[in-house]
Amino acid sequence: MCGKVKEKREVEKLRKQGLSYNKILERIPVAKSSVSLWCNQIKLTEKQKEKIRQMQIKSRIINSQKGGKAIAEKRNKEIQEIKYFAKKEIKKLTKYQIKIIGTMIYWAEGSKTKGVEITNSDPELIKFMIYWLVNICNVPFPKLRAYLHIHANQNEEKAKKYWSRITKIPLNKFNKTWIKHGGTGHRKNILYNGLVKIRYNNEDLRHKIMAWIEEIYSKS
Amino acid sequence: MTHKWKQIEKARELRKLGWTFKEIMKKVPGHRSTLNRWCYDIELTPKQIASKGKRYTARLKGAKSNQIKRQKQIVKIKQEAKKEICPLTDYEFKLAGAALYWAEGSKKGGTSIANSNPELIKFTTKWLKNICNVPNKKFDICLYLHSGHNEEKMKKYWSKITKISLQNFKKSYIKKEGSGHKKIDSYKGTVRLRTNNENLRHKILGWIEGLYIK
Repeated sequence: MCGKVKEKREVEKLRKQGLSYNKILERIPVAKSSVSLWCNQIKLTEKQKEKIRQMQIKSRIINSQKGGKAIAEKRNKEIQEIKYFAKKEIKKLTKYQIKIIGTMIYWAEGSKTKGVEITNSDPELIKFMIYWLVNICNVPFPKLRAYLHIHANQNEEKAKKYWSRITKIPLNKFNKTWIKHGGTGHRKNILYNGLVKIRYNNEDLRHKIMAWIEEIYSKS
Repeated sequence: MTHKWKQIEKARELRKLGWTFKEIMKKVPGHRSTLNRWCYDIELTPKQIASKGKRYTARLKGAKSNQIKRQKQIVKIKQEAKKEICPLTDYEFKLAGAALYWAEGSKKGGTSIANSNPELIKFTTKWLKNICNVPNKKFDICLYLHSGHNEEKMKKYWSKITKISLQNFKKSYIKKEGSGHKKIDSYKGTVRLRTNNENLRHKILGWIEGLYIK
């Protein structure tokens, strides 16, 4: 009646050894329904059943991980795309635009009560603000001073070298570092290179910047 | 260890009684210039000044005229500086907001920005509404308050500033009493504006990358 006698015999043999339908199919290419038809009378031992169950669980985990990864990859691609197009919206900045951006950052991060100071941990932001101070506010670069704020368990020399490389401010222009002691030990988001404060001692400039801020605010 | 503000308050009390800084220094540890900074806004009554002798009166007069001169200078600097700013175009407004986000915004987990300065919050709210097209009802606002604050009053205050309805205010975070730090009376708490939109955050971060100095 059926031409696949040889296959049937092979399948039955494998099933008796305790293989799952899928495993059998990997070796003998027939329809899954045929395997089911040929083998549904074969009783497996408890041990064999357990083995198949474990395999199923394992493969389910692997597959779900695969799915997660694919979704993450897709999302990453989406994010890259969003960022790419957003970045494209920003044209080359004019001097006046840089002035406004720097002023806004100063509003957020700068000192409002004494001297001209900017504190941050983002190297790009610090680079921007140094450019702004030198090119927009006409601060002579050698007049800039830097201060580090770090935790007691951080390496001061390493942090200094890092920030000196970013800011181009020579190491001898770094004043005394603030080292924070103690802490509860719960802190997890450790900033490895600490915070840096860029300082220029000039009250007049600060008043000027504050006036810019007031004006931008009132004219927006 | 006593907190510094306790020293400041003591120094200020003594200054109000008409003490000289030299006299205060004996009671409160600190350099004369430090004490001066703490008490600079306290003006002595003419009677107190007269009691210090002629030389003191003359010196004070000189200091006062210097102060006035400096204040005039500052006013002039500010006036000149204000002339340099034109009304912002939409594009400049976009850049300005992105700059603020760069400084104060969250870099992960939704789009959110926190600050305690009402003007800055007003500016950012406007930016999120007009440039990022966040509708009013999509804002989540969270206040960070001291235990001494009246939560309802603060919510109303910030609702007026942001023009966002009280319904969008989530549970406030209230800091417990006991740190011993001085609370500034004018402090109205910190506000966090948040909108649950990951794509917007990535967009803003893209704009920020466009601002980097090459």
